[in-house]
Amino acid sequence: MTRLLLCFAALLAVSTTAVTARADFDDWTAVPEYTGSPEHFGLELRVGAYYPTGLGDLFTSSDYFGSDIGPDLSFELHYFPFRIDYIGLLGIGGGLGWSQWDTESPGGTANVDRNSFEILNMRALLLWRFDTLARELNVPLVLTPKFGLDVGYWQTALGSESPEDGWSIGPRFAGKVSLELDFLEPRAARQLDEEWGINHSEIFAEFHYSMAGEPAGGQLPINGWGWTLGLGFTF
Amino acid sequence: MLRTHRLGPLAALAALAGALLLPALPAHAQIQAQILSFDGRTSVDLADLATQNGTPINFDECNGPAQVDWRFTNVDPNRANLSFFSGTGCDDASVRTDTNNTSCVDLEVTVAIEGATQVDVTLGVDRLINCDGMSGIDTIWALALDQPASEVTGTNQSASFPLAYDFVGPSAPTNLTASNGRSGSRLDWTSAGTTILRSEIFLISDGCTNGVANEDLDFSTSTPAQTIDGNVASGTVPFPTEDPFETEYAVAVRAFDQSSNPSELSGVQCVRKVPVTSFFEMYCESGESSADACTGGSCSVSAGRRSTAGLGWLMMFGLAALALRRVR
Repeated sequence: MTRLLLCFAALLAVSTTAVTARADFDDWTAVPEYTGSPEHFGLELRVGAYYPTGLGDLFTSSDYFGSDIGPDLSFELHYFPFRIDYIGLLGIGGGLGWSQWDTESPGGTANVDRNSFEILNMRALLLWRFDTLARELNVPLVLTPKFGLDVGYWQTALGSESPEDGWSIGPRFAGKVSLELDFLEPRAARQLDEEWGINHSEIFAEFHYSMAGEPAGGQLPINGWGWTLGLGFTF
Repeated sequence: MLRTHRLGPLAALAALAGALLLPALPAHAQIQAQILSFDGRTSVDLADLATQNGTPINFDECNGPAQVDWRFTNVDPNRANLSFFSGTGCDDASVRTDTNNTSCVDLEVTVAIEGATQVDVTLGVDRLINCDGMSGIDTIWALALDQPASEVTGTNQSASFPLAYDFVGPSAPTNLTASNGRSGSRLDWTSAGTTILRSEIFLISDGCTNGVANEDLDFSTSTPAQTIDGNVASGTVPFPTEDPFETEYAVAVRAFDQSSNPSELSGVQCVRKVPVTSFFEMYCESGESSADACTGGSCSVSAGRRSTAGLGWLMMFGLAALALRRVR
């Protein structure tokens, strides 16, 4: 009788243990796969140089602004309303830039007869952010061709005399190559997205050509080319 | 009743202590002197006037004279007058009344206290210091007295404070050089000392002929064309824009010390407005651009001749945006 009772107790114990094991297995859930936050905006902080070749060799001559690189400081804000698979992000953007050249006048008084030339550039852009290499092939390069319109306000003066100024408008073409920095620290990049909604950060180089003032006969041709280095974010 | 019994000895003790201590304490604290306002200065206090390194009283302020509003507090209302002296040991009646001792001078300024503990007095600076001096520091005493011979020692009814004055201007700037220019001239000179507060540049149009300063130049009636703050030995002065090229100017510099005492004028230099060509003028004159931007010699954009091509580009941009929207 005692043996029978022990045997029954052992069976009960085994059966109870098995039931408990099955319950743990059912409760197990997989770790959710990471998906990035929506990516609709881009921000660029830029520094570079602009060469208004439309103003001729005189501008870059040693007598005037040849020894002054500018610089060209700007920022751009982009909006990407939609993404096309394997194509990338398409969107629009706007930006504001500032360049100033300042130099002594030949034959003038040092620190008094200084020539200055300044361009305040506003731009509207269409953009194609081709990030398929980064998204599909894990190659952290992004190409961004841009096309848009430059609206430049220019101002030039000698010393304290009243400045001359005007507006020049023209199309703008640009090509940007970006290196996404996510690969350096993927975990930190993911954390940046989860906490701040910043999908990607990047460094980039851009080359652009502006036709501001070139197509319009009555405007000062401040057209030219420039390069820019910068830091960008998409969010 | 019980409480009275307990407090009785304490009250007696306090009364005894008071009786012992009271004669040792002054009836009134030291008189406090304060400047409320000073003609021609936006702010000033006794510390500013205490040393030559502060902002001493200058000759114009003394000679003006600048009116100063003083406030004296903690004055014993039982005394008759607030009297002013200059020198040392003025709180000693024997010094004040000793006609052979000139260390303390009666400034002969007396204001009735009239039972007040606060006395406001307006005095010209020349009542307290001698405007015939050069530079120095005088100690001024304000004493609350019943009469000039009253003793103030031990009663603390006095206030003394130093008043610095500086009536001597700095040396004139030397080695002045000035350059020709189009919009102005740059001047360099050798500074006169280390306590220069500012320098003024004077410029007289047509003040020179063929590089020689005219004899009838009078800078005393001209206003400075430029003021350079600090102990700086260079500066620029703009030329009047309406003057034609080749106008000759006479320029000179005057320095001011920390008391705003002026120096003599520096030597006069002659400069000329020369036709320096700006980049934009050169650009327009070169004919490099076929654009309308350079017109009428003013190099300004002509609104009337502005091309409509810019508007065309704007329209193209708008159409492209519209097309993109339709694709979506």
